[in-house]
Order: sequence, then structure tokens, then C-alpha cells
Amino acid sequence: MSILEIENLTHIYSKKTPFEHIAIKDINLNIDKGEIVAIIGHTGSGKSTLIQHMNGLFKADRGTVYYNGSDIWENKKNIRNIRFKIGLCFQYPEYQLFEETVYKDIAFGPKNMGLSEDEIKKRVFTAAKYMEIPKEYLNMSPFDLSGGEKRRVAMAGILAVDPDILVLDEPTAGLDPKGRATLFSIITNYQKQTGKTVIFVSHSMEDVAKVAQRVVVIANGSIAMQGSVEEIFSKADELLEMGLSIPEITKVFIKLNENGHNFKLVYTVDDALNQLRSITEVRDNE
Amino acid sequence: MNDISFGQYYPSDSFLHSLDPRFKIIFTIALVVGMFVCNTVLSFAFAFLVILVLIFISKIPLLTYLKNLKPLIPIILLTVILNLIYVPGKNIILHFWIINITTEGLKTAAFVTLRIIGLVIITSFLTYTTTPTSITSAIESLLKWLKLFKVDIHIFAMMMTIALRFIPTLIDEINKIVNAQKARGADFDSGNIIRKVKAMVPVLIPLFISSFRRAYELANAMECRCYNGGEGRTKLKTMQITYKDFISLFFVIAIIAALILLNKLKILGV
Ligand SMILES: Nc1ncnc2c1ncn2[C@@H]1O[C@H](COP(=O)(O)OP(=O)(O)OP(=O)(O)O)[C@@H](O)[C@H]1O
Ligand SMILES: [Mg+2]
Repeated sequence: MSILEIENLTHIYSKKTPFEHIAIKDINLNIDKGEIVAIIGHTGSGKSTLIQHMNGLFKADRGTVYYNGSDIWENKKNIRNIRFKIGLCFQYPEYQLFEETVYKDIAFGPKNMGLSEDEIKKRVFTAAKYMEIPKEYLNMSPFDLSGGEKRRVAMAGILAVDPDILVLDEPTAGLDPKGRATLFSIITNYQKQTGKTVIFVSHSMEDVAKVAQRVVVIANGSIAMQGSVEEIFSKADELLEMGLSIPEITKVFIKLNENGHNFKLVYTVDDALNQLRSITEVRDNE
Repeated sequence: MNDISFGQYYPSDSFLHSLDPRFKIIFTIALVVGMFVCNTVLSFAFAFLVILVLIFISKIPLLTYLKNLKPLIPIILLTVILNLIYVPGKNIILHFWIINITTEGLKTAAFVTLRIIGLVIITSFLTYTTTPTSITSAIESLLKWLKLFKVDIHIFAMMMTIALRFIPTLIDEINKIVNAQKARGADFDSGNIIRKVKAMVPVLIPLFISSFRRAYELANAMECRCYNGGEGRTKLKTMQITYKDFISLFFVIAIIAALILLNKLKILGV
């Protein structure tokens, strides 16, 4: 069964004013338990708007969001508990840090849940470990850290709540290639160890190809297509039309095939290497 | 698009929108004075006729103006009650306990109410049809003569413009931070006042930090573009006085004159 189900979701900004703007319309989306789903789409296509509906930060003008089969807005008072189940990490989460120490900031969520001191401590340490935050950082001021470290602290603040679904809005925006790689390996490790559901928004097709099991493409506020990485990136022309792209390495292989080679299309550099290696091995053996 | 939705500006292509903001400020002041001049039934009737025509010309729905009146309802009610009770008079129409309601009281209450409503709508004409930035540059231009007294009006105008420019940015930022903290279970709605104030800390600290960062970045950006105060600065959007402004000027003078005349005419003594 789907852990999260979105039905006919429509969101209109500044309703009934001259600035009225339909950000998303008639979105239908199912997320299965334990999946890693990537959401891609051009700037302003409505990705951030969509994910803020997932944990009830926005209430839709039309449509329903179901978590484990029940409407998240069924009981208004319960919405805070829903937010603990569906952890949402905004773009540039480092701007939400406010506490004196890293420890206290990570503990903000668990504290809001009303957990005991011991449990809070356990959660902070676990979250810090997942996010690879060294122990000695916990007593430092979050404002003394580098941008990438701040980001990891802020994300640890979400993990400490221990949500069932982790939703990340452009988690790697503004990071260098190494920072991006680290962050994504952290996320995939976390997912593997806990088996939780992860939904992330990204503009980097390389990251999407490497990490996602399923890709949802949003264009102009509607879902344009969805499917596995292979299915989506095989429709390069359509993606280009929507202002999106395909991984660079895939472009290379398409060009090679156009020039008479006969490679299997690949989407990550690792797969490309494997394919090339296997070919050279065959040659060496001959 | 988000950037212009601040203040109360209501975009449209009406005659009022196209007037020179300096003239609009002067017209507003004139009509506000006109509203205070009114003290007979006829002059009020004429004033509201003018207001209705202006609402029509502005191409902004009547409801939008009325929305502005909503927060004033308590004040209006209070003045009505106070006037009814306290204005002395001879003609008692209602008497109970120690309270006398007189025709004089009734008249003052009605006029004060009409005056408040009129004033709100008249000032809305300015704020609805003029962007905050053009209002600021109009004020700067109107107060130029203060330079004679060594008051640097440009600095104030610049500060105003920047402040106005950043209001929507700050609102955006507050929304974002509030949502980010809500996602971690922050609770802004329940509890007593002390708890609510405490709940604002996780919002205010990130807000201050980002505001200082913004201020610093803006100062740098301005310096990089060689900003050095008002001396010799020109404007991208210069204000243009057109024939429309003079036509309007004529009408405003005529309206004020009519109001003064109508004040002399009384129907049934009011
Ligand atoms: N607070 C708001 N008020 C009015 N319109 C908004 C608001 N927030 C977003 N929008 C509009 O809604 C649309 C969708 O915005 P959204 O932030 O969801 O896009 P996005 O897909 O996340 O884009 P990006 O990749 O740039 O983050 C955009 O056209 C945007 O201009
Ligand atoms: Mg976004």
C-alpha cells in the first residue's frame, strides 16, 4: 500500500487578488513505503509548493493528501503529529538554525514532541551520527560552522524527529561536487539502514540518476511523466522541451551510438565505467 | 511578480493610475481637507458622489475599498456611541436612565462616521493606484525645498525606498522560517502569551541573522555600483506631468469650491 497518496491536488497562491496564480493543478501521486523518489521540474514548476502539502504546511484549495490511508487534515489538531511523521527539510535549511549550540538545535524537534531528556539525547546522537557530524561539534555554536556543515546540522534536526517519510527540497543546492556526493551518500545510507521513504527535489540529473528509484517530472504545475530512471531519461527530447536535461554521461553515449557504436544507454558514470570495463575485458580475453 | 504585491498597490491601467504621483499626493491632501470642510447633508452627499465616481474611474472593485474599512469598525462604533451620549443638545429624541440622545448628537455621530469612511477611501485612492516607491520619490520631489535648510531629504527617501522594498522580502522570509520551524513541530498557536512570545524566538533569530546579511550584501552591492548619496543622481523612471494632471487639478479645485458652497446650503437645518 502507498504510504503517501496525493489526490487531485490544486494550489492557488494569492487567491481572489490580481496576483492569483495557480501553482499546481490536479496532481495525483502515490509514494510507496521504502521508495526513493526524485521530483524534477523547471524553475517555478511547483515542486516546492507540492512538497509543502505533503506535511500539511499548506492546505490545498482542492484535493487530499493521504498518509497511511487517512486524510492528513481529517483531524486539524493532529496536524502537528503528521509533521513529525513526514519530515520536511526546506531548501537552504541552514537559515532555520537559531540555538546556541548544535546539540540544542538538533534537539528542537524532539523537544517539541515532548520526549524525555534521555530519549532526546539518544535521538540527537543518532541523527548526528547519520549526518556525519563529529561529536565535538555538538557543543559549538551552529553559526561558527561552514555552510555545508550548517546544512548537515539542519538536516540532523529533521532526522532527530525520526519521521517515516523524509522530504528534502533541493538538499544539495549551493554545495560543491564533493559536498553533493557526501550528502547523497549520507541520504542513501540512511535510507538503506532505516528502510524509510525518501522524497527529494533536485535540479541535478546526475544526482537523480544515481540515487532515485523513481522519478516524477513536473511541468507547469502538473505531473508530465513519471517512471524509473531509465524510462524518464530515455525521453530526452521531451525533457529538453520542458527545460530539463539528461545526465551528461547519457548525452555522451547517445552521441557515440549516433556515430555507429552500439552501447547500452547508461545514466551514471559508474555504469558507464562498468560497461566500458566489461568491453575491454572481453577484448583482453580475445 | 511577488515584489510588487506589497503595500496596497492594486495594478490596473486606470486614469488614476496614470496620474503623476506628486499631483496625486496634493490631490489627496486637498480632498482630505475637503472632507473636513463638509458639515451639511448636501456637502456630504456631494463628497460621496465624487468618491463613487473616483472608485469607478479607478477600475478597482468597490469591495477592495470596503475591505480597508473593516479594521476601523470598532473605532467607528466607539465614536458613534461617544457622540450619541456626550454631545449636548436641546432636542431630546430618546431618554433612558441618565442618557439623553439628542438630534445634535445623532447628527455629529452620523457626520463623524461619514467623515472617517470618506477619509479612508480617499487615502486608499493614493495607496491603491501608486506604488510605494513612486510615493516615496514623489515625497522626495515635493520636499526638495528642505535642502535650503540643509535637510538631506534624499537619504530619508532612500531609506524609505529600501525599507519598502524589503517588506515583501521579509514577509517571504518570515513565512519560510515559520514553515521550517513548524516542520520541526514548533507550535505558534497554542498556549498563553508568554509561550507564544517564546515560540517566536526560533523565528526572530534566523530573521535577524538573514536581515543583517541582506543589509551587508545590499550595502556592498550599492557601493560596487558607486552609490554615494543623492548628489547628481538621476532617476530611471522620471515622473512626467501630463495634461491629465492639469485636468484633474481643475476638477479638484472645482470639487473643493463646490463643497464650500454646498456647506452654505442647508436642508431642514442640517
Ligand atoms: N508565496 C507565493 N505567492 C505567490 N506565488 C508564489 C508563491 N510561492 C511560489 N509562487 C509561485 O508558484 C509557482 C511555483 O513555485 P514553487 O516555489 O513551487 O516552484 P519550484 O518548482 O519549487 O521552483 P524552484 O525550482 O525555483 O524552486 C511559481 O510560479 C512561483 O512564482
Ligand atoms: Mg523550489
